Amino acid sequence: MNSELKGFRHKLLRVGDVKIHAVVGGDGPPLVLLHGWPQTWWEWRRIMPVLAEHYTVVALDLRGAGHSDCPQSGYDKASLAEDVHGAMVVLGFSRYAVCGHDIGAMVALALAFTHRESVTRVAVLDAPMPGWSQWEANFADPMVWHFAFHMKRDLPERLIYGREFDYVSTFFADRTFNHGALPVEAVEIYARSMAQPGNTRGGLEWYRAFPVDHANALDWKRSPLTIPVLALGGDHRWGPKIVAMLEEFAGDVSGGSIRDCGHWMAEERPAETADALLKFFAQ
Amino acid sequence: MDAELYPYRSLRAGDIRFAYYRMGSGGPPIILLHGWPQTSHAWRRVAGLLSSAYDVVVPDLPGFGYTSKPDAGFDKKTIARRLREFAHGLGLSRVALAGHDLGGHVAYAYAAQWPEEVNNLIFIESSLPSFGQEEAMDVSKGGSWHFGFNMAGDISEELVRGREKLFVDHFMRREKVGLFDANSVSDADIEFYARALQRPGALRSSFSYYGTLPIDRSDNSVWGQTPLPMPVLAIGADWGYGAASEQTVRRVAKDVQGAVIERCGHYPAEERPDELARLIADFLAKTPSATHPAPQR
Repeated sequence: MNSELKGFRHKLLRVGDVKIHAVVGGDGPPLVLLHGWPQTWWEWRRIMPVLAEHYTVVALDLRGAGHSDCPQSGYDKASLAEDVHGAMVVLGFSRYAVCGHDIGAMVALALAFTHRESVTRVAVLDAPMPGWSQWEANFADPMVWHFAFHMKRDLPERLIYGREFDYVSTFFADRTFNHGALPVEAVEIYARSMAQPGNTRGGLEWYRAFPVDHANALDWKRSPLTIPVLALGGDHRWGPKIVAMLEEFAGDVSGGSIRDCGHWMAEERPAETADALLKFFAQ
Repeated sequence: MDAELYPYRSLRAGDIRFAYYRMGSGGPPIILLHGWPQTSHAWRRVAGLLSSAYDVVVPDLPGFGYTSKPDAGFDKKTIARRLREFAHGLGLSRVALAGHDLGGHVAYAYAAQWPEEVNNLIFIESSLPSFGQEEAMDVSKGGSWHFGFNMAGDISEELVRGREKLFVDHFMRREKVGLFDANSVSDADIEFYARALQRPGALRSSFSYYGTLPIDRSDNSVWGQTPLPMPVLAIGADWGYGAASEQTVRRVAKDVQGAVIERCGHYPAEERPDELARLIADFLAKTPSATHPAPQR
């Protein structure tokens, strides 16, 4: 899980009362990358070197994942966004661009709303957003059965314990178009990360905070974002819906689908994903 | 009655070998259908109470307990067909049916397809797909997480395997509709259900009752256009799903009585056996089978 990427340095940042693990490299304006569930910063490994040619890339582990702390509380997306902003401030950045995937995309959007003065552009990759008009109806989609399971307190930790690989590998496979992109070694990295004491709970807490996130986002969207937003999804997952979804939150939304891609965009289609991100952030 | 100590019998019906127990003699027949994740064991107390006046037949549903675990056919239309073959195999062509939880879904599928063969229907702590169960499944409105989990496919089996006791204990004692009195079911009873789920194919079968809910939904929506003709008693529990049983039944039947058992969770057959048996006996006494016309064939 503590896998190394050439040219990047690992840092442990003290942000308020938690420690946040960040992997930093490259030159240029700052760009922070926020991973999703059941992942860590490692999901960005294939596009970080390309992005680092133009940006100072900060790929961090969210509270509850990887090498970051897993405290008892603070897992709503506004609190996770506060961790990210704090980490960027510790690194010396007051204005920065943000890219998030899955749960990290929810954090990215929350960060754009709660730190409008700091976030220059935001890219949202393949996830439904709390506050979306279809958010509640979406719970009926069999593909997100895990929302309700993860929101159940205590029991999922017991059922997943010792079976992290089985659970994570099934979860990936069910949402992957390009199966070659997630070799067993990569899945093992995520599964071992989840198996660390506290991390299974930490990741599940992101889901348990959904009711709070939904209420917050409904409030935020009454003053839509004015910064440019890139909404991008796999054409086999959220791609077809994601632009209209983000237009509920922002006035300047571009994006769409990446072809032949499931949910794991930076791993399934790294070249296309990096290309779309570079074009968007260069504007 | 202690767990596992009463005699089971076996009956072949079609491609299923049914395990069941039968109590009483001479009275009109009533078949008691258990729910999920249980077996005929759930009726051990009520069966004895009803046996003085009724011919009480309590099978393990296909896929549960000692009954066969078929490869397919877990939609309730098919389960009901197999159960009817079982009833006919016992020589019971007209019966009263009582179903708890998913057993209620099966009882409805039986009564809706062969109304002339079901004299009375007792529907306990359940909501029918297409007629109210969707609300219980909607987690964004307080519904339960377990529907999605149980329908998720192989992964749910993978996570529960070897943890069946934790799983059953959680549902019966910890879930928000669980037992009012956690000790109304013994640890030995929980073990009994857990061991039943540990048998090869048991988890697969058990979750398949959920995986087939979309099929049931479309079957029910067709059957529901013709209200059930027989008298129906809908029983809820105040710590379980409350009035939901009666609400769902009123959408598919004309002659409905409702009752709610107090200080009782989702498992009234085990938690309030005396009260449940009395409600059933009173209902059957007031609505004798003679009031329901015999089939004209």
